[in-house]
Amino acid sequence: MWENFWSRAWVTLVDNTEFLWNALQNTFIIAFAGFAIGLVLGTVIAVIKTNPNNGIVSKVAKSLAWVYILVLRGTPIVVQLLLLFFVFLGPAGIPALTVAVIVFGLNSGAHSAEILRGAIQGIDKGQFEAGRALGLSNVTTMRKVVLPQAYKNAVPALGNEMISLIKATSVVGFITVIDITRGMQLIVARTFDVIVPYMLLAFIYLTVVYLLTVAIKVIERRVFKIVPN
Amino acid sequence: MKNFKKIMFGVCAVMIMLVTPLFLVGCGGSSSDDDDNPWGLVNAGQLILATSADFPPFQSINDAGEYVGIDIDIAAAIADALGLELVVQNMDFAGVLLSLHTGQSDIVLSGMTITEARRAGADFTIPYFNSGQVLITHVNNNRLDGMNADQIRAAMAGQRIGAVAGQTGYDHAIALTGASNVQVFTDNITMMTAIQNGIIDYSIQGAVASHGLVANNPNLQVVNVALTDEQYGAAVRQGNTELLWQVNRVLSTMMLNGELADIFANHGISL
Repeated sequence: MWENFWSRAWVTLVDNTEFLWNALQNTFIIAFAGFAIGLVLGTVIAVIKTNPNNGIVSKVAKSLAWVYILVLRGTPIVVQLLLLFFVFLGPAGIPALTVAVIVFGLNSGAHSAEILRGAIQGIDKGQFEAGRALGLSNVTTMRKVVLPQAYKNAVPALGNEMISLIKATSVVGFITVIDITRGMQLIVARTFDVIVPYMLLAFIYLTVVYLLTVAIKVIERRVFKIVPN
Repeated sequence: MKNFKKIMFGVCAVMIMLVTPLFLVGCGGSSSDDDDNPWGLVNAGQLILATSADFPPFQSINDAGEYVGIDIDIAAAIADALGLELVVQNMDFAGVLLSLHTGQSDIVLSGMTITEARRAGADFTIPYFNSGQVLITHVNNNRLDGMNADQIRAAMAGQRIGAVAGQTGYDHAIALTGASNVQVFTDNITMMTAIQNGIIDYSIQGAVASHGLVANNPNLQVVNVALTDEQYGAAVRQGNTELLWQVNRVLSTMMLNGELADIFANHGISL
């Protein structure tokens, strides 16, 4: 079973290079595009939730934000994928990969919103008041004073979110998207060898997550000048 | 200093992961034939059948939650003839032959086409059924009316075709329309709903099972032109010659005395 593991692993990689590379690309597309969409959505939702206004418009927006976060954090990603692909968007002709990006974007948006909300609320209220005192509007104060500091504080948590996303994409096989996990499953189905493909799969995820961790550390130090203790 | 510790920890973890496979060489326990277990059974006294119960009339689950179908009946007959208790293990099709390898089943009956590629991983019995692959499509799709097999094959180039992982339909679909147009589903039933909802336009599947899958769904139709020619066989673990001989013996007896034809007739197919 474990004989010649390394040569079999090499052969598997060489025989299926193009197929596996395409599958890995799908994993990256879904994870990174989903994260980007989620960051934008999350910023909007977080700003809405932390807005000090209490007018009608603000109240409605905050309720909508609350519902959005409830629904997207309250259902498993697989359920969201199945619903959106088989029931709502798939029959409308939207391709499976696009549906996956949308679902992960919405889902990550909910998580990023909570992360950013915590980061914003962690910033001294004096910063916001100073901005208003200088004559800046709520929106501009947020954009130019509060949010930049919030992002800096949120980098470790957002980095975690990115890593979670890479791993969460492993279920998109349910809606016919061939990511690296589904790709390895298909190789297993063809070769009847479970050991090499699944060990390779684990190694691949490990490598990707490790490289991401390194990249996040670089971003923390260089871009945001956070000093690790 | 802390960084050094972290790096050392990481390096050690990676080294352990790399070295582990070397220690596990020879640890794969294979069930060897001894006098107590001449047929290499996983559990003594039981015939464990691995099958994918999404394939009427060969194997499916009825409203009462029981396994029913041609393959189930054949497996029951084999178990009976060998004095064993039949245990049915339902799983996704791609895992069925695999379960022979991993020591989780003794025999596979799953509407499984005998192919050279599969012979590399399992030992097949004599064929017990001749089949061919056909297309399933939405009942409103008239594009293929009146076409013969060659015309259909030409018309399928570039179409969105669905297939299930591990089935021969998957390879046929790729041959018809190219890998990028083939959508891989987890099972047949899900694939049928996808055709119904317009997510894919066609699926390719064994003829008899196609009729079974379409039987209760007024939105689907079978395009009744066989595109391929295939034979179904049962499979046992590679090298399990004793059990293979026994199963072949029972199967040929059933073919000669009409028992096999009766089983098929019970499910609406005349051989």
